[in-house]
Amino acid sequence: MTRSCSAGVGLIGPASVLILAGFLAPTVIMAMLSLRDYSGMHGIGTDWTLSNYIDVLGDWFYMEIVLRTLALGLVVTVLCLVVGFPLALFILRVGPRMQTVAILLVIFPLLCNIVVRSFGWMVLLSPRGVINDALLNIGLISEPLDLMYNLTGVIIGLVQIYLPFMVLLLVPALQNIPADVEAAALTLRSSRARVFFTITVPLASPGIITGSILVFVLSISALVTPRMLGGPTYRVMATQIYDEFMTNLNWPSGAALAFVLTFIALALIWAANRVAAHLTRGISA
Amino acid sequence: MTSLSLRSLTKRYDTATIVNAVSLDVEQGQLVSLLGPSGCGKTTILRMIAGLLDPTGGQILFGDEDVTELPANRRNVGLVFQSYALFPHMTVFENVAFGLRRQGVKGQELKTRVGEALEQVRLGALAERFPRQLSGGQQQRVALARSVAPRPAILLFDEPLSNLDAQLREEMQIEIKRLQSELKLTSLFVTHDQHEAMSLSDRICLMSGGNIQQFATPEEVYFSPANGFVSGFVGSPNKLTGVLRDGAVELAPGLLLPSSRAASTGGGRVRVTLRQEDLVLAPQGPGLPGTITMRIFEGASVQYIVTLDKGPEVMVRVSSRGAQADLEKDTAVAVSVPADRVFVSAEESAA
Repeated sequence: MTRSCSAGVGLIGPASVLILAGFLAPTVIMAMLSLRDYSGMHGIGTDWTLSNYIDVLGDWFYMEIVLRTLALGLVVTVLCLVVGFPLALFILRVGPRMQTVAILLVIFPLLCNIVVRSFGWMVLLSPRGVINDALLNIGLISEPLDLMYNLTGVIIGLVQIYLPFMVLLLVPALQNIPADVEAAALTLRSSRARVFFTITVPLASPGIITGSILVFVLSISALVTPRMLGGPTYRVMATQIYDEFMTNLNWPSGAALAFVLTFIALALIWAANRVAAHLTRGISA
Repeated sequence: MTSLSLRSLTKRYDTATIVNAVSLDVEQGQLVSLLGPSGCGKTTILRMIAGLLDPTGGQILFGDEDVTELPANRRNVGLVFQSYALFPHMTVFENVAFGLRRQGVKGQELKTRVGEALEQVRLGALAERFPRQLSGGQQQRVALARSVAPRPAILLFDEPLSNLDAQLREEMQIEIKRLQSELKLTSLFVTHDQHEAMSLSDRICLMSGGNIQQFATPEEVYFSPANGFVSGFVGSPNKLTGVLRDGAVELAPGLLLPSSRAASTGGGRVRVTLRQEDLVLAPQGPGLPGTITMRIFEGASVQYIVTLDKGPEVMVRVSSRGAQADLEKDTAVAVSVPADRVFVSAEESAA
């Protein structure tokens, strides 16, 4: 008993220390920081206040950033789903040898740093970039399209960067659907489209939900890609938090904003899990 | 309700022929089994009839209607899978209602029809459960209700009992037989289990290597096997080899077994199949001399392994209430076989 107990402490010890020192303690410090008063003259004060949160939630400037971030996350998630679902189905049905190749190709971009990939997109999307040049040359457009330094650019970049996560979660979810179940629905007078929407999608919902949560949370907290493809004036929550800390040196405000982002993410994960539990009543125990 | 006909139905993958020009007629209201070892093409035939696989050649007719080109969802078949294939995210009620809704049945009529189908498989009380809350046998009964509820023209079974344990399997056999004859549904039943095929079928279609070996009633298949494959597959026969000599088979030098089924010409090596239950043991007298080397009590029957003198081993099965039920190991016995129960076939027809 005692031996196995001390062995247990020994086993979880290192991880516990890491989480306590590396995650819990900084979070508590950040939480306290977000409740300190701040003035441009005197910096961080010693009084406790909720004004940082009230400023974020009551100021339209911040609310717009929050809403824009959520909208960005939603669009990126939906696009990843729409692009990823057929890709996942393709990977499943293409046969064993091509399957390995296809999965490797999906994973491959993850080996490349996000900064480098975002630069790559800048080369493609800029006003005199590869895409605009090509379209101008073949005469499809007469003016360069605004593909960068706006929502479009950020969305394109984030979809490409987070698509692998979505696909890698959808493939096993689809793999778990027995082929017979879809065949059964077909013989019960359902068209292929109906089988897809009434059988395949609901049965893949665990993967759809985890994939969507992951992509959404990654998208709303992404910093590098929105900064590079959105440009210096395009604000989402992550870039605003960065600016509050690094440019404005208003740490309490940045910390409050960071906690708002965290709570939004937690609330959404909680809600998605509730929905998932209802949808997958029959599937998982 | 309609009949089912296959006309030279063929399925080829690259060079491999899985189903080789199979023609078959299932009369209205009959239950026909496709029986054969795994890989004989029986499931492929079933899936082609359901529309889940495209045939390479040939035709599938429901009554007079050629359905070969019809997609699966417009064929009006019911299919019961080995894996049950219930929709796990839907209740039992919704599973059974699934096909009916596609037919435009709704409201009170839908409730009545689903209720009827569930009553037919005696699961009326479980309508609101999810499939995973049911036992294997119950799940397969739901699958059965689901496939008969839309009143299909043809009912197809793909080894539906293979995942159930022995006792449940027997119960389900009776259930299927009862439902099928009550509803007079034209049915095709794929199985590798000869007992299942025997007890369920009006006719058995015994298959091997993509070809029909025999298409006949269970009695005919058992008592008059068409060829060496059939006699070797049905029952659990002793498979021996011998040389044909004047209407008898010589199993080993001096061991002659008269056969009324042997072709008159002699001399060639042949395969001999002897059903365990056709062999007769006697303490002495005419027959092949041998010694009991093992006795296995099976309940209703007793199985003996008998080593023939200077010859092969044979397995003999007798009733456990019969006179020969208590022979001990090392007892000398004489083994005889009625001449019309000695099945002889050319060696190359061995499958």
